[in-house]
Amino acid sequence: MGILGISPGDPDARPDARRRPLDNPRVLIAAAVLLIGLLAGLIWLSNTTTEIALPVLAEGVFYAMIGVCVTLLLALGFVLARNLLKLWVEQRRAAPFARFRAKLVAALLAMSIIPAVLVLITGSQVILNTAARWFSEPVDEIVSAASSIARTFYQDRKEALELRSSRLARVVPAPAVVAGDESGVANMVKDELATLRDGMIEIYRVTGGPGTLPDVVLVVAVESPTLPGAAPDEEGRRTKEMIRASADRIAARVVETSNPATTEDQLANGAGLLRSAAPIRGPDGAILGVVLVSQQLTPDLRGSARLVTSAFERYTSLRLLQVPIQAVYLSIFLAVTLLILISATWLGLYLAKRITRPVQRLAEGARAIGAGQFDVRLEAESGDELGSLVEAFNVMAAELRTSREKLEQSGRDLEHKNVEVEARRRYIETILERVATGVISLDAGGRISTVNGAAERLLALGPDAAGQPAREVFDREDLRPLNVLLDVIARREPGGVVDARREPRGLVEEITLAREDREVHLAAAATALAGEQGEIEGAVLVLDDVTPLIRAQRVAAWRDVARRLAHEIKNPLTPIQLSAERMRRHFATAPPPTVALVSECTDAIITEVEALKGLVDEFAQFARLRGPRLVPTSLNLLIDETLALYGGVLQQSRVRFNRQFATDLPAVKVDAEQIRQVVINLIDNALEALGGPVAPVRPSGAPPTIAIATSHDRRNGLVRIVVSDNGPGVPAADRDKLFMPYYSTKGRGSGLGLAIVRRIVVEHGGGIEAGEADPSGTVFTIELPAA
Amino acid sequence: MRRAAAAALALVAGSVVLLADGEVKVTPVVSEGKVLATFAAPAAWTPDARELVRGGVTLTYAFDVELRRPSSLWVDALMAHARVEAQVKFDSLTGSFQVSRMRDGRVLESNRSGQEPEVKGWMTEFQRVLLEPAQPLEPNAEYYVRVRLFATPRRNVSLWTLWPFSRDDGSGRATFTFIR
Repeated sequence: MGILGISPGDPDARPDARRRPLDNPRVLIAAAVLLIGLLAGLIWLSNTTTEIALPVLAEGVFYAMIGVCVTLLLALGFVLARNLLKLWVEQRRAAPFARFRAKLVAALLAMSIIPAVLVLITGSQVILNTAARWFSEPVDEIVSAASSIARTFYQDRKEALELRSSRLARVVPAPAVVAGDESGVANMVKDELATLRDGMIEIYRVTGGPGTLPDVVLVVAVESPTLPGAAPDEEGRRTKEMIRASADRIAARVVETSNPATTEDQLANGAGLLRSAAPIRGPDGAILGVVLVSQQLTPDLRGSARLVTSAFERYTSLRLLQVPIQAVYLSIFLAVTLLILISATWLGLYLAKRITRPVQRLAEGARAIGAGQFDVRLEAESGDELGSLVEAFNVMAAELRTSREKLEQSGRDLEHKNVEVEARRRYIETILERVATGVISLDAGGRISTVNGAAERLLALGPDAAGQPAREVFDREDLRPLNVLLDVIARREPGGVVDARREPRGLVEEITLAREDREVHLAAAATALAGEQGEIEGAVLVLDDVTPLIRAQRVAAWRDVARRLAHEIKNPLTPIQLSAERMRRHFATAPPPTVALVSECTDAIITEVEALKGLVDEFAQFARLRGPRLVPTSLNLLIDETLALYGGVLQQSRVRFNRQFATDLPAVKVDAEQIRQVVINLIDNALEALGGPVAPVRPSGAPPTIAIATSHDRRNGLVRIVVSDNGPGVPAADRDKLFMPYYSTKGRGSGLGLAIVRRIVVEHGGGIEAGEADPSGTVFTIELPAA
Repeated sequence: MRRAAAAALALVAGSVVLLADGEVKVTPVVSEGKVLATFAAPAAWTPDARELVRGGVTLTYAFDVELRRPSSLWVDALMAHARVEAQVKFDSLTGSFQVSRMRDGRVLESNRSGQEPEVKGWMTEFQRVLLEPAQPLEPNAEYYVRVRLFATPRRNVSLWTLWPFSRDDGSGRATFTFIR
């Protein structure tokens, strides 16, 4: 795992939970130990190259080092290529901090590669220059001269010894040698030995005849007392034996090859024994014996000569193998440089990763939080500043999560309250839409905000009224009386502020709006809406249609008048009628002119009294109209039965009934007798308007027609009965008065018919209106509750 | 810098011995199903080699002797192989050459001589080197003996020697048909 990790439990937020090998301290330590070991090995190798044989150094070590260098170069290339490729891919993917990481890696690589390459170049140059100095001309000359001296000295000694052995072979008496006469040659040999320092002379004779292999037998051997091995100790005996054996071999070889031979034996004390053998030939040239002359080369002399020649050989070898040896050192130096480069590169990449990865994780964490994952937690594996930063990030994430939860809770509460407010608003809107009271709300600027259905109906406003200034809307001719409300509101808000605690913000006015066919009486209330600081935020106009109330008040007044009239008028009528009849009886016996006069007067009195009685009865009926007895009734059937009553009257008439009954009309709870009376009254009025049963054809050519229709208004829960005619109609100004008692356009009758009709309809919970039919005539619309 | 360039150049060229192909003269003799190869590479005793030897460097000539059967479809089949070496060390004090001849790492003979022509012969000529094929030679089949020379040390180094298929310093071959 890296320095950071996302908290467990959230796999999506753990992009790098897998522990990387290079993040394992053991792997890091092992890699570091390996690199240090390789470095130490190379240093050891460079220190021990002087002890390695040159051919081995120039061949095996060189190629081994080349192999090491190639391996290290491949490793370096792999590390570089892999990481550069990763950086390139990260940049292509626009990964966070990819650019920063690339710059960091480039800086770290430059900091390691440039010095290393410079050191490599400089060091290589130093190696080459130093090697060149090893083999300078003076050194060459000195070494060559020393070697030449040593070689010359040696050769001189050798040649002198060869001359001595050759000469001695010629002067030694051959017969004495063949005969093995030691004394015959000993004196001469001893004399010769006297001239030879640290020397030894041995005479061999050849044995064996024809057909047999020749052999050599020592005849005489004399040696200087200073010769090693002369001492009678164990070492000396062994040396002497070794010397003797060597002499035997040399003598045998001379006999075998028939040529002189010169060799050198090494003695135990480090000295050398230069030996030269020459054949003793007979007159016929046959080899009869061998003279072997030996002389010791002292250890110092021999050692010095050998030292000089060895140094010369080493020097020459070095010079001859200069290039491979230089290559070995260069390869060692290159390997060390590559090791340092690999270490520095790897360390640089590792450091870059150590630096950028925590920041990258922080960025990823921030993005996760931005995406709404507030439970993201980063794990810090280091206690440095980055660790503190991670801790701060975690604290921030936790606080954000808490804030988010509080916010969500507040949101839920707000949403709940909004739902409640919305429900309350719908409730109020429903009420406002359903109530008969008109409600208009105005904003602070005097513009109409809302208009409920009742207000639209009462004020005959269109749906476009909302949003318009109230004064423009109320500037309409019939609505101008409403401006008084706006004036009052405007007067009550000087400076736009109302003290709600001191001033009553409501105003109630009774306003009468004149329509072309009727008057509408409204109880209008204007209420200013004040904010928390008392500023005016708008106003509410509440309009109650009090027209039915006023009508009812009027009807009640008329009923009271009717009852009083009936009571006050009807009482005297009977005495008046009785008095008139008495007078007629009293004057029955009077002269005919008198009788005729009295009869005429009393008839008139009685007739008028009867008329007054009828009038009073109608008054009484109007005053004492009973309450309806509501029974579910089919209105279509009721109307049909009522119209059937006119069948006989209109049999020969031009007047036509046009029935348009709704088929889905529900049963309506009505008092059938009273509704029948209503229908009869309306049809009678229509017949009257058309001119009675013998009504003429209408000026337009259309037949006189009375239309009766029923309909069901499900939305408003009403049943409508519409009775219309195509007669001349009623002037608009008189239509509202039609339902007033004692108002008649016929000039006769009590004028109570339509008043009774309205009262019956109102007591059924409905209403009736008179309107103008198209193209002419009057239309009465009765609305009754459907339920 | 010039030295560095020269050293770099030396890394790619130069050897003690560099013979043309065919300068190792090979004479195979078949006897009792075995092949005796006699070969000589007198041109291998170059002035460079002589200078190296007289400079005190131990010079080794290694000869890889191979008995192969040609194959047109695949690598020629190796029937037998021997490696013989001749190693010379010059004693500049005595002026004598110490020559050792070995086969497959085993010393065959060791000689000392002050005569350079004799030394040259010991170094560049081998007589009747036995090649014993694992399988009997096929009558009327064509075979060849190839001898490749490798000289060490090299006076200069060559990157060619890093080539995985070792590059020799000279070679020669002799083709024969085995007739029973």
